[in-house]
Amino acid sequence: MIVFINWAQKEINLKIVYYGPGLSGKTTNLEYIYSQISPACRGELVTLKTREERTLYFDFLQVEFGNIKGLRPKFNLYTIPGQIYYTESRRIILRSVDGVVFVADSQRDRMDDNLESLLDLEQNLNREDHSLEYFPWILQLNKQDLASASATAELQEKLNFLNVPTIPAIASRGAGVLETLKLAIQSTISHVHETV
Amino acid sequence: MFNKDKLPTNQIMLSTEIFNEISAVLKDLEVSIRAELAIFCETSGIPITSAGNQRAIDLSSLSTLAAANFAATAEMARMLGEKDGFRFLFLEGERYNIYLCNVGYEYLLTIAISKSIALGMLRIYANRAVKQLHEILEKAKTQEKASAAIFDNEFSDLLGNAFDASFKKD
Repeated sequence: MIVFINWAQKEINLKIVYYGPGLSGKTTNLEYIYSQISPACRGELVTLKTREERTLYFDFLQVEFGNIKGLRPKFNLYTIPGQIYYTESRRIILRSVDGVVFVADSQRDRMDDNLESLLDLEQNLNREDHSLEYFPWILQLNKQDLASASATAELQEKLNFLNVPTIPAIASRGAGVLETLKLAIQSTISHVHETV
Repeated sequence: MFNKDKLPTNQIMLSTEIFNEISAVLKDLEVSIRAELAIFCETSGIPITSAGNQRAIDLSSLSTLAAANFAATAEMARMLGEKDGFRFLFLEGERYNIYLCNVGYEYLLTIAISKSIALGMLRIYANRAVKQLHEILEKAKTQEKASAAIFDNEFSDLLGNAFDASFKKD
């Protein structure tokens, strides 16, 4: 975790990474944020996708929310490529991360993928000398509208063993997306306050 | 295995004085070798300052892509057993070339420059700039760190309000 403060420009920069298995809706989260936030508060949405519309390297969006107590907080939002074989990309993107949103796919047959991705996140955080246990992260239970989705209680039991804040979501309709981001931002700021 | 108290949380602090000195080094690149754009950013891509013709370029996006590009190169170096990584990355375009190099472990310098400037000359000036930036950053390390007291509950509440105000109302 690196808290980057530029006093000359009165900026604080924080990095939040959207993690999770392939096709869980990480990019959809960023696309919805981009579509809803005032253009004055955002940069470009950078997406590096394959021809099949899968995230190849990462998506990136910077958002900022004006002047807070004399500082301009800027949040750099990244998604990781979910597919197993992009391990190195995920490690690179997780460098200097300040907060994580884990986007889980609520569909019953994706539970193993969720768990595998969560384990992968823990291993990659360990490389940065962090651990899920003491790191600010939010669990988003996405695709709650699908008939094959597990109940939130069941997902909580299997994925939320550290009792982190959880938001059920339907990112394709925007449900839960902004709540997730707001919670992730607040958790990250609060963690900075506690640990710096 | 992990102790919360021992988790590393580093602060990178840039005072106005240090910021101005870094900006002067970049301005010098713009003037001396007519760099189209010179960006100094942190290794995860957060732009610190820049010089040159920014036009309508989104500096944050550009430096994030540059940083990702350099990080990927560093991983390639690691896989090939190049202990210190590759010294620089050079991208050749039709009108402009791009030169990327690291400044210590935590920063990157990106220079977009006309094709008419020879790579040798670019490297000489870039190396000089990197040396100057090193000296400035060493000085910055000795400066006092700020208190995180500012990120209190009031900060969080104000940020929450600003967040709500930034989104469209349905």
